[in-house]
Amino acid sequence: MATMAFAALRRSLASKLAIGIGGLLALGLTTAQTLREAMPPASLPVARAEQPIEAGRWQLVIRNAGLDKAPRPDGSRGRPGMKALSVDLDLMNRSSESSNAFSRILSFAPPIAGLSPSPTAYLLRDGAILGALQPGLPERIRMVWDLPEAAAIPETIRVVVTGETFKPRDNLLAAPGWFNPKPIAAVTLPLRSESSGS
Amino acid sequence: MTDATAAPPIAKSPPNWRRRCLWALPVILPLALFVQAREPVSTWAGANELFVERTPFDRPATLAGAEWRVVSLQRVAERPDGSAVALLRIEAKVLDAQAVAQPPCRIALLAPDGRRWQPAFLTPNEARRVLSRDKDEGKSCGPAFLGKPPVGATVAITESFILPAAAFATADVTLSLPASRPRYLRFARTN
Amino acid sequence: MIRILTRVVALAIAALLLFALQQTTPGYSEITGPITQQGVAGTRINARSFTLRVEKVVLAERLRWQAFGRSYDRDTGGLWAVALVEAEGTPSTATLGGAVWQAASGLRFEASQRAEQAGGFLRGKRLEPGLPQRGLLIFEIGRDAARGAALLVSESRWPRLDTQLRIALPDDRIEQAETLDLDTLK
Repeated sequence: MATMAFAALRRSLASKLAIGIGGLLALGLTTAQTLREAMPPASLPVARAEQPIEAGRWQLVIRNAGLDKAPRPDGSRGRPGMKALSVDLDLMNRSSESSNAFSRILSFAPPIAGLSPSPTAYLLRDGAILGALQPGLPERIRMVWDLPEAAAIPETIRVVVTGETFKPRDNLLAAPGWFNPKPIAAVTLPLRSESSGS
Repeated sequence: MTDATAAPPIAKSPPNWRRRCLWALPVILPLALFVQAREPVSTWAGANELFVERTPFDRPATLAGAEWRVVSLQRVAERPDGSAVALLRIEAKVLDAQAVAQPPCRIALLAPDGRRWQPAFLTPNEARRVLSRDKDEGKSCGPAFLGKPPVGATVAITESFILPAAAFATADVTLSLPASRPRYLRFARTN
Repeated sequence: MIRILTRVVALAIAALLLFALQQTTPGYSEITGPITQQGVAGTRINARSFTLRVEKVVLAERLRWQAFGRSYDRDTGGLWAVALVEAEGTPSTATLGGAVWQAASGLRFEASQRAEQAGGFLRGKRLEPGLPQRGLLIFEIGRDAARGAALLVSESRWPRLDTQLRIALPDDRIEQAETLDLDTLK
């Protein structure tokens, strides 16, 4: 009698385990994922100026950075009371279509207070605002951020390059596109500061 | 003679619901489509001009809460490439302020063979010269109705077109408003 | 035994067919995307809302033109490709919003915004019915994208269920130049 009861208990335990194993597995997986995301992030690979960096759709070579009140490449001056932080880089479109999505590939870490949220990009060849870049044709451009004249700027700035990954079919329209931006590399540049004027 | 050939008892067979439902399908499916499609079809009809109301060129006509009258359609210039610049002046007397104030009105020149010319976005120089000479403000349809004119007010609208010089003589003026579509007015020049 | 085997084989064939159907279904953006219409350079091709005829294409290293009292000079790291076309809106007024140079390798170069101030630049200009307009579509392309390419022209920039003309550019319609003065091209 006891052995029969014990056998029945074992069977019911086994079936309960078989039913619950899926839930237990899911719980374990989500716990592992939460733990992994809570861990300190892996540090960004460090790149140098003049070194080609592949950031998703773009391939860039950062040349230099400067802080001055000189007129922009197209001759315009910033608003009064503002100075300009500019980064010169060579940018090439690696995708297969013309694109003008380059306003978010550079950011600063640690962030600089007072900086305008998105830069204006100038094509140095023309001295005009950059429209779109054609695939496979590298161009030297200058990205200019506005910031108030009184804002404090360190001697060297750390530029973080953000890149996206290519998905041949996205989840909404099954169309190819570049998604999921994430930082690719960080470059530390000395800030070339010019005295006032040109 | 026995009752062997007596009529069999009239037992009603149970109704064949499957067959009845199958026969009802060709009725129900179009009905469902019709009910579903009423809203998108009415939206589509409200964006297109489907039903014409022809009026003679020189008489006023009512549409969408206003009485419209073509003041003048003149050819102000002929360009060397064979195109003509036409200036159209229309007057609207407001009868129902609400219906008229919904922008935008669609004015076009329509040729008998179906070609349509939409008004120029920027007034061409030749038309601008005529307007300034006549001290005319030259407001097109959208800006003219911006101030929400009250009932009884008369609104003057000016539109300019670029079309082949040969087509100017037979071009009719069509006009439609969001409140009136799919009906539209056609001021016919030829009968 | 044979019956079971035939059933299994029939199931496997059906599964294979369904898998092939699923893998070859075009995506939503392809189904609702542009409707391509093939054409040949030199002939007038009718799209839904406009007609287009490509006369010739000139490849150049530099472009030069005058506009608004200024003179413009543009060079490039690749090549300039200037297509001389004649377009007309039919049956109603239309504008060309999409102009793409599709290279033989599949790269797509959109009409360059660097040359937008040129007087004959046709993208964005109104095309009235009955008045065919000659104009230029200007592209900045890579050096190896010059031959075997096609022009993709449409009314909107990203046509959805609308015609997109695909005009193959044969070599005999392509000219070369060192510096091209756009004002002399008309």
